[in-house]
Amino acid sequence: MSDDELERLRKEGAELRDLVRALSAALVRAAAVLPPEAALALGRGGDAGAEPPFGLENWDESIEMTRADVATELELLWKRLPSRESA
Amino acid sequence: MTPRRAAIVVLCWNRWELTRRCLETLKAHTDLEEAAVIAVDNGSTDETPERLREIPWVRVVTLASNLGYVRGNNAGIAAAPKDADVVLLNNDVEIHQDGWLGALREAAHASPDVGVAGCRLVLPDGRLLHAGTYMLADTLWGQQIGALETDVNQYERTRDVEGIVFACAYLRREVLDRIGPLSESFHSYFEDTDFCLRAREAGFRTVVCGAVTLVHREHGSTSDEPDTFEALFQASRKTFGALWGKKLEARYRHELSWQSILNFPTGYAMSCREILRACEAEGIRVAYTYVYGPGTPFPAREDDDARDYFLNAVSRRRSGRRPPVSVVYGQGDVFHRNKGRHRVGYTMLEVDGIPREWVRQANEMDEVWVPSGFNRDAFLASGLKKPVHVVPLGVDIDHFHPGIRGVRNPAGDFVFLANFEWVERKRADMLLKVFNQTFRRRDAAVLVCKIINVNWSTNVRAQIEALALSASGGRIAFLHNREFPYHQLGALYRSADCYVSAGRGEGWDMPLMEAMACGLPTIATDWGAHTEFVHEGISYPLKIRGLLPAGARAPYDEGVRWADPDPEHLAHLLRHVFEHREEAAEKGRRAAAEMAAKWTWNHAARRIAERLDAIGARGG
Repeated sequence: MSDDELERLRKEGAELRDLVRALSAALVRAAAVLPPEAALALGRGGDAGAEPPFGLENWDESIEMTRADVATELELLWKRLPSRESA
Repeated sequence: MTPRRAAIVVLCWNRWELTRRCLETLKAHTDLEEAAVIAVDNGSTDETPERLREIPWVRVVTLASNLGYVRGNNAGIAAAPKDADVVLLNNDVEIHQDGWLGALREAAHASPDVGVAGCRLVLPDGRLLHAGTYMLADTLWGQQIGALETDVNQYERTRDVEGIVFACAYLRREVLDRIGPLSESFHSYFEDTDFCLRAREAGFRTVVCGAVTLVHREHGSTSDEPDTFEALFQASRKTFGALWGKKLEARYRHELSWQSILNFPTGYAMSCREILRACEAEGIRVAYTYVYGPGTPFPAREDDDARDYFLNAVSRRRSGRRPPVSVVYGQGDVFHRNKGRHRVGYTMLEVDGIPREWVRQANEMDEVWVPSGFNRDAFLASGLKKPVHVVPLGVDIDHFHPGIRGVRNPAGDFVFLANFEWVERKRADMLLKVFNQTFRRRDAAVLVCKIINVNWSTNVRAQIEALALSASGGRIAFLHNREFPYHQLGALYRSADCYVSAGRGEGWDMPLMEAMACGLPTIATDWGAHTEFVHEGISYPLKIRGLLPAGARAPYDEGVRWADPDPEHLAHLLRHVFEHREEAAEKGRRAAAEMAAKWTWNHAARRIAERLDAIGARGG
């Protein structure tokens, strides 16, 4: 696979992720105006729209291992840890 | 009993700013009731002589010209009270720690056979500079232990070393009385190692007191003048070689060829590095060669540079075409590369049977070493006919101990940590799901997974997303394909509160041992080679539901099995540790003590030496 094709696929992947996020956000907004029972029923179908309990936004896909400093990495990790309250 | 007074000798030669900082910090952090301060002005031509005379609490010894480091310090030693110990302190050292002198004195007087005590030295930027020294007979080029590592409080304990740099050296009066001051065969350099070796010959040990850390600016000496430095250094090296070269060679009791892997990020390579160091300390002269490469199951060529002075020196040693004893330390399918007259295959595996090809090659060896009874039993059950000996691995308790500084979670969450390669055996899917289901998002608990994946065909992110973890469940964070310097790994463990190893089986489980040495409570599958060093008194054994056929991408044969860890019990243990933190912390403390008492690399090297003694006694 050429570099150009890889780049195109990466872009498409990013666009799809953005689309899914936008749809999720729209679903949350829709649920907010539903009657409580309806919102609960929707909720039972899953956690759609809630922030996931893990942070993959800064995920590095590379299988090449990056030389890193423990203190720097952990400080970043603690900052991007999903909050307790966001669900 | 009144502590013995010490005379602190500060040798000065110009660079008044350095001396001023040294003396100011010395005064701020030293009880001068316990110490006399002697500044030796080594023929300074700047403002140093005048400024020194203005300081009432400093006794000044003035030398008419620069007599060099050795004779300058000896002038200070001669001026010290005859009943006092002596502390040599370079003027480019700063003190920022109260109680430093008392701690050094305590280390030096901990036993009658301690003669010299040094300390940890750090650079102004915080990197470690020195935690003792060693001298390789191969090169006569002294090395500072720990040099340029990020300081995470490694080498915290007081420990024996071959030598120290005399930027800060506590010399007991008994040693000075016995062997005299620094040898004036040297002008500068090597005199400190020479002193420590002479002290050892006279029956005195040299220690580094890790509880004391001073800042060393490494300026103010001839190292700032390259031409002068080179001339003095090489002259001293020649003198040192003539005095000590043969004696340093004579410390080896054994010669050993070691065929393995060193410069790749693998478990064998990492442990190989530690074994080589520990063997050297145990008096085993090891010559290393790479065992893999073209024609083996791992055809990659190895980088010649280990980025480590000692390991490079060991790699340059020659063991000959047919060394008396050679150990292949790696997978059993490279045993056939063993070139020794007495051939040892040293390996491990995470299942209850050994591949047929490994056993076939093992039966071509004179003996087989494995780290655990678990592997010994697997070999014997798989048809091994040759003698098999348990030679355990170990842990570096200077880099993995409870005093290592971690980076704590600022929100105060209880942190579970797992450190693993993303392969089926590690049961990451189970761990993530169980954690996510056991805790709620609002709980002050988080799981940190340090994951390595070097397989292009495995999309870890997609597999995590496919687990469909609940947004309202326990939170998980990932460190993906981050390679941390080994000397910093302890900081990762010390940033957590509990370590989890919930895989199907282990050939040893070095990360688990490192976490235990760091004093973490651990949850570990109650099956596999690590049961050699893990038990209920120091860990939380995770029950298994039984054994399953092992079907991963690995050289396993039909009928070989691994464990099925119990997810319900894992959930129970995670919750139990979270809710019984003091009990868990106590287990962690006991684990650290047991690792230090029984499972260091020195213990491992002693076991190797015992085997070499036995082989030698048989004429092997």
